[in-house]
Amino acid sequence: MMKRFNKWKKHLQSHWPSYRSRLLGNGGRHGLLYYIVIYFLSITFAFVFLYPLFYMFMISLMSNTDLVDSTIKWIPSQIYWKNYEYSIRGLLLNESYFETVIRLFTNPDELVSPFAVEMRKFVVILSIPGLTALFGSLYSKHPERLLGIGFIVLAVLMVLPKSYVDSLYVAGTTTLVTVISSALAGYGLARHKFRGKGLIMGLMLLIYILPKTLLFIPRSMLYTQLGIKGTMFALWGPALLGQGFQATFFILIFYQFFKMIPVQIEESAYLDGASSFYIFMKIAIPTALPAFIIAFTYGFAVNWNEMFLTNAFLAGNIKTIPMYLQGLQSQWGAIADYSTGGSFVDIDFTEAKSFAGTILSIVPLVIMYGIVQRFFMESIDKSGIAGE
Amino acid sequence: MKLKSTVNKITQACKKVTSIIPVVYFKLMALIVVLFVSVYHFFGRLLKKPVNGVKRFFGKLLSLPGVKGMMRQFEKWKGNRTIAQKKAMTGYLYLLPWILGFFGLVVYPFSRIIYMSFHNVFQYQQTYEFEWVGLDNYSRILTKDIDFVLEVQNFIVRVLLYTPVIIALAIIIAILLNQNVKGKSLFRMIFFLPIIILNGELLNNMSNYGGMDIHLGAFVIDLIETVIPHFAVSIFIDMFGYIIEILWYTGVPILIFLAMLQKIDRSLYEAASIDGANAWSIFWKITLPIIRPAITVSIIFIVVFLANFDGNPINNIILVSRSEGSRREGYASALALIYSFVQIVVITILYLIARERPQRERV
Repeated sequence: MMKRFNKWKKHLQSHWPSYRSRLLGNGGRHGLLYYIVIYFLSITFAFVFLYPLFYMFMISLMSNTDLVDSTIKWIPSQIYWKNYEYSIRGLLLNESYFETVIRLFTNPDELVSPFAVEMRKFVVILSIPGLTALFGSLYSKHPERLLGIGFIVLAVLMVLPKSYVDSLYVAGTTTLVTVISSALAGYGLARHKFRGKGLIMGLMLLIYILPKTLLFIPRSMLYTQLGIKGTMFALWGPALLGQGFQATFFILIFYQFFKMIPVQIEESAYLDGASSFYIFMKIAIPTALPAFIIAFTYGFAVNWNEMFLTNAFLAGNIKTIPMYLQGLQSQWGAIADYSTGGSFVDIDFTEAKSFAGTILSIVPLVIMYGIVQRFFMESIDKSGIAGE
Repeated sequence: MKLKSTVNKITQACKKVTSIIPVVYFKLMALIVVLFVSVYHFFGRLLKKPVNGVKRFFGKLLSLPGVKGMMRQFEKWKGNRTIAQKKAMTGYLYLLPWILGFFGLVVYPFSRIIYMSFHNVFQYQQTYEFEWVGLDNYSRILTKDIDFVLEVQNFIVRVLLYTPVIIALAIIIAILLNQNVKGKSLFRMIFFLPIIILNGELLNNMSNYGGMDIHLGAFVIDLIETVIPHFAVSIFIDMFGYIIEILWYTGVPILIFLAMLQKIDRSLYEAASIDGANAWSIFWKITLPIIRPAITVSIIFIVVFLANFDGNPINNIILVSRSEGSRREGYASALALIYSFVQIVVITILYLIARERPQRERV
């Protein structure tokens, strides 16, 4: 025994440098310890990040009796689908958008929101294929393919639940307008020298720092006077004028990005007689595609989750998913079906129901994130978002 | 009397007209954009000569006598400028919407909110009436009513406690993500997920029902408490209850730090390691000074984010006060003003702490 140990010790002493390099790494290679530490930390953080989602999902499958049972911690004794059934009703996911469209033309008195608001939404959604093809024809040689994609999107929107479509409409159009106006402002700041530029950027930062609660009272009074409160113009107007929610953030992203692109191509185009706006449309936008992807993804998420201003300016005419989620508990009595007989214990509102609603409310965002995340990550790699 | 009634009528007519204008204006804008693009493209496609098609369409308009004279005047006014001046003009043109928005949607509302904060506001149907009360609203908020002051204190404490932790964790995670290991993209996807799905209602639901805290095992806590007295540890254990919330706030700061880290030149690290520096000193001497500017950016972002977040109770107080009988818009305006002031002060303090000090001379 002792002999063996001594032998081993000798071996270790003589071969120590090779073990050491394998464990700690040397030169260009990393050692085993490095990978252990990196993976341990990454997995720990990832677990902590995902823990609440996992917890919510498991709880949302439980009935109320399972919740009270102290022996059940993670896995429900029986999957209780009623949570989801009622939450779907609570978030108004049981009604497809085309039902609303049919109602719009046959029986407009039964609409939840005013006729004009609903009609405008329908027109905007209907114009998706045409507009994508029109703007696509600026950049692609096959706009008819974009037209096809537009029609697929239109068909999907028609089948999707109404409240998802409403949220998509509110978040999508507002983001689009914000991104367009911020790209223009960012391009103007990055590419043109004029007096008062520093002042304007300082004012932008100041506006960014001010909380959104500061100006919303006089603004909503102003919108009431103008007659646009309760319509989407109350969100589009400020977005168009560069004062949308967190607009400064997007302006700075675009400013940063347009600054990074070499100026020579645009200068040569300018010397060839192209106007500034033409250069912006034809050269600047395609080269700054990553910035657009980042701004769209982040802006969409922000506008989807934003509830305070949306609620105040839309005055309940269009309700988004977070608003329905907020009202889930107070609406529960009307949603849940108490007439099925038996005890009410499993039907009463508890965290299981709340979590089921929450899961349903983040599903579209997660799907969207899954689709765009590859482009999003690539864009982040290409851009230096960190501002000056 | 007669004069007054006619004036009233005229003002009401004006109000009616102005109430139509903005909607019409927006609709016109949309129409013009759609028309321009469609004319430019469909006509251009049909004629196979996009530029000529447009010129033919607008040429007739431009050749009208009155328009022609106006164009000539415009050319005269536009001429005699250097390229730099012309570029400056286009620059202003790009920022014109923002400038309009600044005066219409920031300066004007700001003056209104200052005006309202000194008044009590009453609403009769559609019209508002203002009653001068001086500093009454402010004194009510700061000395009589307790809810807002309490929440502001909570807010300040929370921001001052959270911000350093968020920044430290964000730097750690950004460095982890910057390593070249397999599965990096998966971890990145997980760490950026909260940026997308985080909203006030979600966080409320989760923290109300205990989804947000991982309970440290009783064994671990006992172990810690045998070594260190309870009162000294309790703050850290309490902090651990907020760890998920804090981690979920780190999304955008991670992004900022990661972008900054990827810009660092690899040769700097190599040079340092050849000179015999270990990872620890490389971090403090090279990485941290380079990503220093990102810290200030992140601080501003975090404070603004925490202040604007829908889960923040202060927003709710202001929203509720606005329609509450004894408070109304005047009181809410004063609340919003005080809150903005507090936020600017907090940002300034954190900025002064984190800003780059001029480096001392080393021998």
